[in-house]
Amino acid sequence: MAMQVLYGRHHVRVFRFGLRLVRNEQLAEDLISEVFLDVWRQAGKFEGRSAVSTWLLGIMRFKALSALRRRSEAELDDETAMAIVDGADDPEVTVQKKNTSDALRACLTALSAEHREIIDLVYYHEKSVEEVAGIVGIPENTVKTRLFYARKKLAALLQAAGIERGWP
Amino acid sequence: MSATNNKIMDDEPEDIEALLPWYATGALNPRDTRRVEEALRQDPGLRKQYAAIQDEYIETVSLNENLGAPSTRALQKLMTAIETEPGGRAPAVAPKRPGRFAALLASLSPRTLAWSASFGALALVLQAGIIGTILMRTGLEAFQSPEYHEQVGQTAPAARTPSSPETPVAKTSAPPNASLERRLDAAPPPAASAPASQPASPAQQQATPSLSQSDEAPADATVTRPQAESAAPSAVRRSMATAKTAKDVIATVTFQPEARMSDISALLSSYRAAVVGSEGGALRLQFEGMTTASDLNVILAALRKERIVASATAAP
Repeated sequence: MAMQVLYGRHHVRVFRFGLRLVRNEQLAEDLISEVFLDVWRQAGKFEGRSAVSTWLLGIMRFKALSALRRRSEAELDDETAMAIVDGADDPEVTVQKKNTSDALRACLTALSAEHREIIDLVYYHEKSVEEVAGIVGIPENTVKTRLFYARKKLAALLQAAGIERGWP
Repeated sequence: MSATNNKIMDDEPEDIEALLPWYATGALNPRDTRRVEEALRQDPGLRKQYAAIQDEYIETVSLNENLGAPSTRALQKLMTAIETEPGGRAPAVAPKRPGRFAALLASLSPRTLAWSASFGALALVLQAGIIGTILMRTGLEAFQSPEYHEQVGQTAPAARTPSSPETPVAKTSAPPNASLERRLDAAPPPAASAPASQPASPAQQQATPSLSQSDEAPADATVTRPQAESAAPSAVRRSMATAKTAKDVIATVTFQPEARMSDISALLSSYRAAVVGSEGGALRLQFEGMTTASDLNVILAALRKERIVASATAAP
């Protein structure tokens, strides 16, 4: 029962976080099962120092990166894979988009996994600086600067798509 | 030139500037919130950037919300995996009990253990003797189920009358005819088979008045038996339809964000609710013993008064 409750409350957001990282629904579904299976196995290790959702997102991140690493078969290390900007929906495509909202969403999708991850954790999962630092495993100051650079990259993509927002 | 623009030129965020996204999501502590508010009042460049952040915030949420949800396959896969794990469905804390029992046995001396075993064996022999005697006096009729009687037709009316005082098995078990009524008549709440030691929640007690009546009135049950038999075909059909309805009566419940897992689990146990699915952050719940929409309304009203429940509605 407890596992069903936990799953029911968190699986959608954790799934979406994983999906944004791996960009493959089938894989994200497999990962969500693995995440909660890990939770079932390690329930005793959860010390309650962070929110359950933070704990789950941390597990999902680890699983997603492992899956990405397996897929790239050591051609790319995690850092490189995370830093690659996705060309699937590049700024030229977004020029075709009619309004700023669509363009902004397209550019959010085109960010590197590293930047998508930090933007999602802050804006969608509403995690604090400390929580993001815990999930990603980086210092708090790096969290702040990484988000700043992610936002700058977003602005650059929008600018390339012909959309000015007045910043930077 | 404002501090913000200077920092953009330097390609490094200023302290306050770096906090703007967390200010937008409300994830800053009160001290930093005041600092950001003060800076926003004084710096038009920062306000412009904050407007851009609010757009990013809205679109990120929108983008993620449109990603959908995993299919039920993910949950099935999880449950299958859990069942194949060592320990299966047993909760992680379950091994404590056998451990305690083993420790208790280990603490006894061999002589005490031998005496305890002898006493246990003697008790078993006595129990077997008593049961044998009862069987010899009453025959096997006392153990025939109502379903059996129905199959063989309307024979053996004597067997349906209350058994003699010296038939403890028939006396202590649920009245056979009450059981038959439950099967043939409209409401077969699963709570009927629950041990009496498990107290039902107040909402559930209200929701299942017919159940307690049929359980507590074996005499009436005997009287109504022929009526039930005369209408057997339609009654059976109704029973099946009710069972289907019971499955379909489902509530969608969301909990307060600060609700703890233990609180939710305790609440679900007290309402005898089973999680049958989820939609977004809401749980789809089925309640033991709940068979009709009016039952559901009673439970929904009770749930809405719970501190940790944010919303409770009937699932479509």
